[in-house]
Amino acid sequence: MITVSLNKSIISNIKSFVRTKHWTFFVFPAACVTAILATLYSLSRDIIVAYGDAESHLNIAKRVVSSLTPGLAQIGGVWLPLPHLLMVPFVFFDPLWRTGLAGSIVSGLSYILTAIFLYKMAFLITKNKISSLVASFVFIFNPNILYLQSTPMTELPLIAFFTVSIYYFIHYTKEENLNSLIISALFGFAAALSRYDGWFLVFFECLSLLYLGIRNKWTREKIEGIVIIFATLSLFSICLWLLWDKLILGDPFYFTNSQFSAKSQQLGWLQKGQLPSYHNIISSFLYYTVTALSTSGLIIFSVAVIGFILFNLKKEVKDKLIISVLICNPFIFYVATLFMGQSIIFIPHLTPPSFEWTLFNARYGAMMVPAAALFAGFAFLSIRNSGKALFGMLCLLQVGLFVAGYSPVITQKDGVSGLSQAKRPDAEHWLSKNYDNGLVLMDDYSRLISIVRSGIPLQNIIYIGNRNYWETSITTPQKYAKWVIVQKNDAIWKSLYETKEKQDRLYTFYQKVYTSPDILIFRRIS
Amino acid sequence: MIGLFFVVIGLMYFFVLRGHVGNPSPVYGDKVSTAAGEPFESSHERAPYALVLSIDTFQKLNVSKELAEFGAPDMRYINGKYYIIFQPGISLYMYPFYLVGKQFNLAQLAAFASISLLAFASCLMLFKIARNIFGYPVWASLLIPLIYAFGTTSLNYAITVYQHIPGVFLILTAFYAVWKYRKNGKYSSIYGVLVWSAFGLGIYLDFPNVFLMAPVMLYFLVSSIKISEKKESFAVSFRTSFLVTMLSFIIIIGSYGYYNYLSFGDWKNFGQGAIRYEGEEKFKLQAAALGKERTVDLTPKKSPLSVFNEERIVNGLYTLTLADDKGIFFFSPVLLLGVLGILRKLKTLTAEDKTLIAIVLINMVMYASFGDPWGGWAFGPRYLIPSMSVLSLYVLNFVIKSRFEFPAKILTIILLAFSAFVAFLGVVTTNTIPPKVEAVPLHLKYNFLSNIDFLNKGTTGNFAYNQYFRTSVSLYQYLIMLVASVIFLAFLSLFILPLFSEKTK
Repeated sequence: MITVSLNKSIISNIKSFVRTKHWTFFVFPAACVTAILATLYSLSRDIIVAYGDAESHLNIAKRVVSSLTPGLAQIGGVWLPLPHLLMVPFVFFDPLWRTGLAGSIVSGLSYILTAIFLYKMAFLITKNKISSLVASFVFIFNPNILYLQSTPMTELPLIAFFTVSIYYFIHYTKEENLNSLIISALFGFAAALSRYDGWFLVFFECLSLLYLGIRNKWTREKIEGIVIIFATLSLFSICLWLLWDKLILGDPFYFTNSQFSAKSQQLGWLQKGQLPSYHNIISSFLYYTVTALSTSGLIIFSVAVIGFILFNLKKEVKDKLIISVLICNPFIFYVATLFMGQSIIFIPHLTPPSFEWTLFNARYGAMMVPAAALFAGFAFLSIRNSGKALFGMLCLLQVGLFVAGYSPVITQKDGVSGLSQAKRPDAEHWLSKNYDNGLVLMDDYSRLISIVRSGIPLQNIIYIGNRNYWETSITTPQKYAKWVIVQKNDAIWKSLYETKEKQDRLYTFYQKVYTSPDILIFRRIS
Repeated sequence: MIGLFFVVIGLMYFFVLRGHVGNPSPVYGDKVSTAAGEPFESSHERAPYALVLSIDTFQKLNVSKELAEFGAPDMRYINGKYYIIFQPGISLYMYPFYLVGKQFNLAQLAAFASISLLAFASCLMLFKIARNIFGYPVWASLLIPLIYAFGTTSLNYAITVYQHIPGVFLILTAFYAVWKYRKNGKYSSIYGVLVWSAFGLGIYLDFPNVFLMAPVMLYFLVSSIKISEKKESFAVSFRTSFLVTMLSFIIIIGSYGYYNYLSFGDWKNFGQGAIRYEGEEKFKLQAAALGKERTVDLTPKKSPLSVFNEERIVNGLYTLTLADDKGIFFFSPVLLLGVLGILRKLKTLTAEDKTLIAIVLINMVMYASFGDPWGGWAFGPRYLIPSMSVLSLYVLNFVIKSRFEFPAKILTIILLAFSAFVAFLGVVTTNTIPPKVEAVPLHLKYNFLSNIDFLNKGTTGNFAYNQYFRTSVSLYQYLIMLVASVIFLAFLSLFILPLFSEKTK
């Protein structure tokens, strides 16, 4: 028998060290270091701009400052503007735009903010530093989050605004401090201008306030006042966006009615019979559950489910219904939108191999990682000391599963080999070698080549957002464009190449310099 | 009474043995039938038996060309030699039984019976666990082995040569031994040796046992650590016997390394670089397609862990639990009560409960993530046999803790009767049932309903039936007699024995 004696004072010293140190001592450095390392990793493997959408986000931001027609109107009317606006100061610098680091900075800062506020939220609920640290670290070390925070995708900004808004909302429910409510509304406003998931959040926050008022038997005037204060600011973002779409694009619901909207894209899948969750609630539920599971990690998700149950059974926790609904509202949002056919997820766990693609939009599951982290932290709090050691082992096992490849880093896999990946046609490589200045006419929506990789300055691109240039060029390209890039069935194909007559006209001014089965490149005859 | 009960269980295992009189050996040109329902219906039986024959005939761990043909496609080929694709443990275990049987012209039967013997030993272990660890009354402790033995498809692998039954025996033995070790009694070091030995033999038998036995080994580790609180300090004590007894594990694994050294020239080579030998005809075809002899493995190299992948888990879980071709609850619905039994115990879980539940979870998740959760052409979910043993233990927790004990017992009998019927149906006919994914394109039936066709034909490889009963009863009547025996024993356990038994602890 080997016996080691551990002085109680050592343990109490460790405990008091953790208890007396401010959260910044642990969470902030851990989040900063992991953010930088993960971004360097993505940079070294050239996967920051792996997603097709990642480049589009970068380009939207870049066009505000660098375009044929620069300005705020370049923000467009489908994707919500805030993540792009946040990128604007960084994309101004070409290397940050071309590498995608401009987006990494925004996502990375959002990641750090989320880690901090997740800790604060867990502490607000549990009053326990160690379980709050656990919650924060579960988020910090999630490889799917680590990958997404290194990209220009918009998930991390939303997660950050979402977490901060909920934190202040919970703070308000506990303290009834009006400042907290206003800050919550402010971040709700930001969330609602980041992704459409944010709209759902602010609606749920408004409903929660109503519920809180009724439950706490506030006077009618107080309920009205509180809800109006909150809703005025948070829902203002939605009004602002509708107004923007009306003024710039002529339709307040352009984001859902236009050919570029997600809804329109989903119609194509529906026609192919490959929208498995459409009007199927069980499939919608399963698809999002499995996506959230895969993104959070199999073991962490399972622990979080146990934590969720324990949390909702615990009598001492106040406002658990509101907290659960708010932190899990991405779950409700995605199940609802999958059911309605407004969003689509393909995941190899469920999607039949006979489908054209089996991996698409798996990153939507990342929205549930804060909830998984929070409830995993709560599970940690609820178990005895021996169980805490087991919890640690399970976390290590989860890391092992990711490292061994048993659990794929699904958000990265989607960007690298799923339908979300950016195309890398040979034409892009050809252009990067042969482009010699001049304006380039291309249909950017079809993402035929990557502009950041081709070496073409963004201000030399004529695309649909440069309205006057575009409208002139799709009938008389020779007026502005030195180069015309045509992809089968895109807008330029239809207007300049579809018929023999159109082709003859094009060949009068242009010479075909590159041919591939899908992409043709024309150069103006000098 | 307890002895008599186990005698009956033993007898029933005898009545379901599959085999024939004789010492069949392809080495001597014997024509060995591989038809469905016969003892050598699957390569899973033929390959380990081929190694037994090779050891006996040539005193070699590789097999001759004839034996390779006999064991194909579960053979591998490397450096001009043929080896079985499985770990050698099961063949080495069968060998002494084979030798004894050979003296009586019953070599195959004796070799196969060695697996039944381990199934029987597992029943004893389950009884001991139920009685000593769970504190169940005698009647309940007797019902548990009955459920495991005849109410699950473990029965179908107790009469043939698969690694699962020995694996379960080792898991249960190790678990029980840790419990005894934990008590720190006079023989705790011997129990420590037993745990490590079981772990080593488990690896010798089948690699996935490393994962399946992990909860038991963790339980072992935790049992060797004691934390006690003193006035000013915590004393963390670690029992050195944990490390000392590891020697038995090292010896067993060392012998495995020696097998690898003898076979593949390197103690840590488990047959890497070998190619799968699927029979001469296919081998020639592959060589013709390549334009040269296949000397290297053409299958992509994978790490052992990548065989399991999270992306398969949803379909795999469905296949293993509910699917009508392999689902554990479809073939053995009595085990649903085991799940309910676990749920009932969730609030008062002991370390032993956690260990056993972890075995079930790992077993389910691991094989749900496996590329072939069906286990090929097999009867029921053969990979879940470890879970069957654990769930059998908890069926009685459902019965005992039920507020309505009488209806719970009736429900148990009904579900057990159905489960036993399914298991015996497979036993007296065949285990080679295709999974749905293969059966549908081939227009074949894919679950135990296809065994009814075999039953109607009356062809069986059942030793006792062919030897003693064929002339007096039909196969269908034989099946009904077996199921009726189980129902009778269950009735005895559930309704008669409690009248004479002490109350639940």
